[in-house]
Amino acid sequence: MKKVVVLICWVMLAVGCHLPSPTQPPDPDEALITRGKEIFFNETFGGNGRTCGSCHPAENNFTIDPAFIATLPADDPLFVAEFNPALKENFENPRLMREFGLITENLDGFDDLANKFTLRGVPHTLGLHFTVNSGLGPRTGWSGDGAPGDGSMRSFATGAVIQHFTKTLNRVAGVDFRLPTAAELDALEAFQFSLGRQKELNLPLPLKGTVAKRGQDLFNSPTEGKCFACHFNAGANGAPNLFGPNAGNLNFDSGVEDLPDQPQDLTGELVPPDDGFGTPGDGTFNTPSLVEAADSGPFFHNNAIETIEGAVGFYDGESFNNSPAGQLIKNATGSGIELDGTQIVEIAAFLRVINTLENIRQSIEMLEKFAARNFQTVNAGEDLLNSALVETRDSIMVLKGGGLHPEAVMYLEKAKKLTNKAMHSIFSRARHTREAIKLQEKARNELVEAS
Amino acid sequence: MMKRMIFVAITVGLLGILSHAIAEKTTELYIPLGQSPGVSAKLTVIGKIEQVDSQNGALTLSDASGSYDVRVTNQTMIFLDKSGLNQKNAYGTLADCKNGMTAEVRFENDDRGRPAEWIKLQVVR
Repeated sequence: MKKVVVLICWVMLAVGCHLPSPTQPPDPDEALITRGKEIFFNETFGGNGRTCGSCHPAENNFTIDPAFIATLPADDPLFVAEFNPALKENFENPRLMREFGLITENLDGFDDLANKFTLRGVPHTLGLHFTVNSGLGPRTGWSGDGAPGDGSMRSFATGAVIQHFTKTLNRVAGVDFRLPTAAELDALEAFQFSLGRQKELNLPLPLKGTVAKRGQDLFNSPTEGKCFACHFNAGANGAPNLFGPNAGNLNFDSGVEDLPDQPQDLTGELVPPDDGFGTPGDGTFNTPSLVEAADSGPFFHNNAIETIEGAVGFYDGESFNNSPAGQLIKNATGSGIELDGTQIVEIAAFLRVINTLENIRQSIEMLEKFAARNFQTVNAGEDLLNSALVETRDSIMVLKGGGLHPEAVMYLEKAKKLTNKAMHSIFSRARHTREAIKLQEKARNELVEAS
Repeated sequence: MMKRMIFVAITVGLLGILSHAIAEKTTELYIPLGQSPGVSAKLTVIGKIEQVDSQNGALTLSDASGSYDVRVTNQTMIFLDKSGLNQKNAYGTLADCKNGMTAEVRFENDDRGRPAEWIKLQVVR
């Protein structure tokens, strides 16, 4: 009898460790974000089965790439053009989607679906607080004009449902899909703005790695990399001392469309030119943030370049230096951007390190929330650990991919194991989580001086 | 060099790389009249067409607050909203604007003195 009582106590203790903390009065902002998350990943808006999460999955940094796409089952709604007869023609190009992660959009009108379309990569939805606003209004999507209505991030989902969720190419509201309600738009906006970092970096960071440190110097140099001009603090905004204090997120024609041998062009499939912002387009495209870049490739609006080193190297090439943006740099500084191989790798190393720092920050945040039982449901707790695992996986991949900071990689591998243990443990979740946090901090300390 | 960089950057910025931030109009085709997010009834005018002047490219729209002269140019997009009939929406022209039709007008730069950026016509039969 005594043994039974002891066993029951242990079980209750174990169950208690898995439960969220006693109910607190709900934070209305948190409630809106939670509602937005629910809509983002589950609401199909009466359409073809896709959700926002179909193209913006949490487990892949809210974007898709060929490697991730290859893991999806054949009946995933992302592939609806492959199994829905009504969408078989002129909705997506399955080959280009699977091979290059490209999505079809009819940004210049729906009057000639067979010939009038663009093929673009899926931008992630991280750090949106710092990548949408500009002095002239919000800029959404790859060309900065991604949303209908008032053009805001809030309205973006309306256009996305029409373009991507429809049951047939008739796109009749109320038949092929339903439009998001005002409340749903509010919730989606709140959720998306909650994703990723909530403040800008303040460069220069006190980096410890030799190569990344040099990369940061090149990045911020007005005579060498010149990257800061359009990616101030490695973000998405123009440098205020160059473009004015309220310039914010800008568009540029940087010549990506002029790159030779673009992968999709090598297939023989119809790939119309993409003219960017406006109809007809002016050739400019929106500047993305670089903090999130290293683990969210391929790069540029058309996924033209796979690696972060390749993306940096683009700015040393003719396509960029002959472009309007390249000419702007040349006229302003007396020369275009000229980088040699080692310098390209150094700037890329800097981008890898700041991406890893952001991934570590997110991992620690989620692990600390879990350890403090700061979640409302058991599933939410599991999500926290899972998300920490995903970010840690990315940190390892990004550092290893650049041959950087092997000690940090070692700590992160251990953190990943412990986080996994926490997920599958009954009695030691909190302990494993706290140990994982310490290892994340050790990894961070390898990359940057403690502040 | 920094000063030169600043001057060129700001000049180019003012000239047009910093393009006017506009919403995309293409999916607007499929948004029913009165449901354009953040815009309908806040920035647009929804009312009845009172008069159409095809020769001069203009129409008069009236709602509870009064009448509005709407200039229609080659850039104005006209959408035929057939969603109420469960039919596919289509692009239209000034010739599709008829007296008595319910219409929604968004003006360029949201300035009612400017020409229409787009007009949605509610098709009821």
